Amino acid sequence: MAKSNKPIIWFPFAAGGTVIAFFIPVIVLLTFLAALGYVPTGLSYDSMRAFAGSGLGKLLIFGVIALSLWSSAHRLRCTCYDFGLRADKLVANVLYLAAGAGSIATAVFLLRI
Amino acid sequence: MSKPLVSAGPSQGGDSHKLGAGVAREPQPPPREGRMGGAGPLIREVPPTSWYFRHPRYLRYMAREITSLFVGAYCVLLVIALQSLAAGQASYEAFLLTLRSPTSIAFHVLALVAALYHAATWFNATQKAMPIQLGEEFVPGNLISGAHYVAWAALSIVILFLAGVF
Amino acid sequence: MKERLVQLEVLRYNPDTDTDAYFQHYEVVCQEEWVVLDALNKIKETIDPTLNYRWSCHMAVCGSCGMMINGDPKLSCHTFLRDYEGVIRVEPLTHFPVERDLVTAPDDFIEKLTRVKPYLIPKKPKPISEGEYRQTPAQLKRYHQFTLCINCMLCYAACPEYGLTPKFIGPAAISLAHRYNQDSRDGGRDERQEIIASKEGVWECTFVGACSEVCPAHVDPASALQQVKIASSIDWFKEHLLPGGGK
Ligand code: SF4
Ligand code: FES
Repeated sequence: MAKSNKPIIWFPFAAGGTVIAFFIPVIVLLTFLAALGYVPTGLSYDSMRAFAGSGLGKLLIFGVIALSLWSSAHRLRCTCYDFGLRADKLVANVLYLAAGAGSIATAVFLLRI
Repeated sequence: MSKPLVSAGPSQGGDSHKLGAGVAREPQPPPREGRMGGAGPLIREVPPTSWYFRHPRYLRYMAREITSLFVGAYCVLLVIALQSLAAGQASYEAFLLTLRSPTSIAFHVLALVAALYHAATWFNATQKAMPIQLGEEFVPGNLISGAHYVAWAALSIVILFLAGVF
Repeated sequence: MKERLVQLEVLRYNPDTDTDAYFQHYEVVCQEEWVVLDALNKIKETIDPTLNYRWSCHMAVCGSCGMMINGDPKLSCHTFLRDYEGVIRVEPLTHFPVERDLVTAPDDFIEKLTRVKPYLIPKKPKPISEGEYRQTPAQLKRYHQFTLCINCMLCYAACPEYGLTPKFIGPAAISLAHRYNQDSRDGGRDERQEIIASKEGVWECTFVGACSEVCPAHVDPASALQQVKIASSIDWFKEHLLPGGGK
């Protein structure tokens, strides 16, 4: 038996789980307010441009989205298995690729700002 | 409640009993179509698509795992938001308007519940994953989880403040 | 003392004659403060001597009386009748082959326990003349909780990942490996990591947490496994990203 390379997947999953726990609820709350018609001043075009235009802002946005995507993809993969879907390799490839694509898109959009 | 793991013959009822003496009821003879002798040890398969109905704790676990579906979908929404932000003011403001649809509001409610459930289960787990031993004693687990909750609340308030909510 | 008529539905299986298991209904008068094992003993003594089940200590120490009681893995000597209403359903532990009635085959569990090298592997040979190993109370406390396992297999019956993937080394065995890895006298962690950081090891765990909920000895296997995941991840990054494999 050999040691598994699972840490490459699991470690970003765990990091992402932490990021989701700390950041996603409050971010959902903010866009929820916008959905209810009350757009917080921080979500206005000018402030979002300014935030996403700064180096720190880019880093934060990318970190939160990329890690959260990865973490969700991995957990979803395990969930598919738990629901009885036994095509684990296929599920894993699709979900990890989707998470990767989302992260690349995030980076591209950020670089355009 | 749990379901039987094996197909069970119906319990057969004897009809009378007196207190003070146990009464055994005659068992239903097991099905034995064309078979002499037994089957050896009995292997009971786990039902791969419905095992989580066996106990409420499994349903709680599945609920926690399914939060990832909503969190993942919400992240996709964030990517779309970024796309419109990068595309300029008009498209960003159009995006903000699409957020106001009833579907979007319903999705936000689900995503919020999912994110909060994820956060609570995650912080509760920190004490298991990262116990801290100071000198001889371990720091009480609830202190570790509690510290995470406090930090979470503080961070959320700061973010809300920076976003101009109050 | 108060008496009570208790109804049990007990899973029966005879490997010599049965092709499938079935439930048998028993009614037996019990004392109010009895446990499920007492009820089974009374059934065996007064109603049905053919009923098979394991037990030994009757005090939650030996770990041999584990059963599913209303779908929950429990020590039957530690499960009080007064906590139940109506018919109590008693089945052998899930995920293990049924040998006869409530008796399951523990072979897979035993094999996994032995596979993780659950003994001290000294860092270097130390002759008796050099005296005993010394350990501070803090060093003892570091692993003490993981020594409390009574090998009752309840955590394996509770763990859905073990049920779905029987190769999984499982909660108690990995916790036991962790117990030795955490011991200041031990130098065998690298050897054990080869086993528990493998694919069939800790990585099959999705942190359902059921093991810790059912463990009667408060071992908290779920905690041990999360710690092993973190430590194994740190190992991996050291081995692959640091020059010289972090040694
Ligand atoms: S860890 Fe707990 S539940 Fe599992 S075998 Fe040991 S005592 Fe039993
Ligand atoms: S009989 Fe020993 S633990 Fe129950």
